[in-house]
Amino acid sequence: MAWSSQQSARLRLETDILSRYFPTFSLRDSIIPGHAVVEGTMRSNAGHEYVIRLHVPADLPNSVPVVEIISPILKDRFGHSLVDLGTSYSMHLLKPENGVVRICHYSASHWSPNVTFTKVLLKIRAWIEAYEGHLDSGFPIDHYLPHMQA
Amino acid sequence: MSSMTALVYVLEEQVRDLLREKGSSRLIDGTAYGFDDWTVFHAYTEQPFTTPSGYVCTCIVVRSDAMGLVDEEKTLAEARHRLDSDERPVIVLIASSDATGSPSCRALVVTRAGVTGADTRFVPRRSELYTRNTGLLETSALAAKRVLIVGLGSGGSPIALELARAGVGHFTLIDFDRLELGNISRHVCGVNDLGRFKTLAVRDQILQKNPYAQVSTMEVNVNQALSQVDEAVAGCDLLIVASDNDQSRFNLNQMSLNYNKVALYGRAITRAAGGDVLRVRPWKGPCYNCIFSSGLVDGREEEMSQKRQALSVLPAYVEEDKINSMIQVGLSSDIAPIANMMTKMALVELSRGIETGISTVDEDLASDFYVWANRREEAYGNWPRMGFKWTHPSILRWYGARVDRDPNCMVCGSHITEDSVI
Amino acid sequence: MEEKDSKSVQDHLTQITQGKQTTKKLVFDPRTQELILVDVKAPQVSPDAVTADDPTRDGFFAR
Ligand SMILES: [Zn+2]
Repeated sequence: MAWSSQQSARLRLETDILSRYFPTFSLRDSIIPGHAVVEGTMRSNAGHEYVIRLHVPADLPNSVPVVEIISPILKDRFGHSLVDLGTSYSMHLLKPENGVVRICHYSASHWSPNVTFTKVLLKIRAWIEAYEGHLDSGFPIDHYLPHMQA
Repeated sequence: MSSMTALVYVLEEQVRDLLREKGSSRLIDGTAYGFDDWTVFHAYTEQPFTTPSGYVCTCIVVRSDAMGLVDEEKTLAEARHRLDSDERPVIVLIASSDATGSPSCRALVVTRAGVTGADTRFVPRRSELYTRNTGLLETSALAAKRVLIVGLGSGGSPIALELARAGVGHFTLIDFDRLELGNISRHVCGVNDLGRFKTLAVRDQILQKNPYAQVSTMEVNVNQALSQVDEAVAGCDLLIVASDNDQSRFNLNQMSLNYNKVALYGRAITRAAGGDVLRVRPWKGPCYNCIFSSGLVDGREEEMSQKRQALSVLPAYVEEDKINSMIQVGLSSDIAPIANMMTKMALVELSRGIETGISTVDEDLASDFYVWANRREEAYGNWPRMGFKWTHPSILRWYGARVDRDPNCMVCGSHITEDSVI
Repeated sequence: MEEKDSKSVQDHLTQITQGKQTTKKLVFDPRTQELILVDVKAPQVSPDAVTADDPTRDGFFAR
């Protein structure tokens, strides 16, 4: 199945907005629904760079996109790999796959088609700042970023 | 066996089929099911397409020859031969045509004690299905209508059955769940259907009301079978969404808009303290996403009735205990008003341009979104007691809310621009 | 007054997480890709800046 016309229009809209807010992010492998990703680099206020990959869901925009941090390999303040933490409530992490960290940003019960990739990436941008806070202070990431109300 | 004359129900359609056969009459193995101390039987010349119930017993069927004759001695000898050691009777059906060519059927009940005649009655055939008082259904007005129901749980299954009772003739049922012990008390199907796909079990229930209904089923997850579901939406007259997650509702919402199909969404909130029903008239009123983003619907309030559902919406780190505590189901009687409202709204939609006697209801259903409270709990915790007034909100009444399309809706909004969406 | 050193931004995030009232808001400036703290009533840092508090204040994993 190919993208529907609404999905194609939505992808154009998403890339338009991205080019304005996160210009390094671009859409790749966009032909096949389920394989498309949006990838780019984020830079923290301290100047550290992170490569972010957002998987475009096949049923765009109706489900939560998976967001991974591809590089660098993230470690916590105590030297443990974040991947090895697995699913982590306090670090806002989902179960990692293929050895990369997955950020828990929106829960399914809070998702709606009104949420754009850019809005998701803004949350990832805040996570990165919180992650660097954790490296500094040792506080878990949920010291900086609150949890959803279940 | 009691002394009353036994009653044997036979499908007229099957008898007609048998009589149409050419060639010499022969003995056929049918099948029969007995009830109530072998006083009532449902007998079939071949396996029925509905799921039979009762205690199985042997049935032999014979067709009269061209002269209208049957070798009764030989037939009875055969029946006696088939009696086994338990007390089960053998049913003998003798099919023939009367002088006018109409089919008739005699039934005999053979036991070790002897042979007794039974009263036979026909279950009417398809063409007489809608004959008032003698048919199964009251009206054929909705016989050509096609309904797609997604979610055949405590909400969707009674709606399916009610629409079958109302004479809707075509159903497509989508659900990938199976009936489990925990579902039974809130489902139209019972322990006989444990382990079965809800779709197939509900199909059998529909056929109990209308044996000639056309029912197709899809045991798929809507979110993973988008193109199949898309086709089903394209082919229906009305979409009824009784699924248990927003992702499926968002996906179905897009399809309903694409094909301009009216859709009804219903759900119960935690412990079925209440619920709501949304009607989406594509492009004319608010869509599911308009309502969701208005805050009237909150994914966090959704009733969690089973673990699979909870797992699909909760982050992976939520502990098992917490998940189990979130699974809080209501009573069937708390779901019933919501299913009933959806049924009525479905009938109004299906009746457009058809005289079904409920057309004036449409004038009353001015709102697209309705709220119902069963108890003053959860979201309705601060509602006043019902008492004797009807000027304030109370439990056990429907309230329509005025909700408009959201011009900034990312699904149906009129002017989607970069500025309006971030 | 604008602040954009990591420590200030992180302290602000902590305050939001603890539900405290703040006189600052966090905005994302797409030109510099920085998160910047500005006075709640301050004019826009840049025409393209968007508030980054919204998604954060609503809770991570929340709306
Ligand atoms: Zn809408």
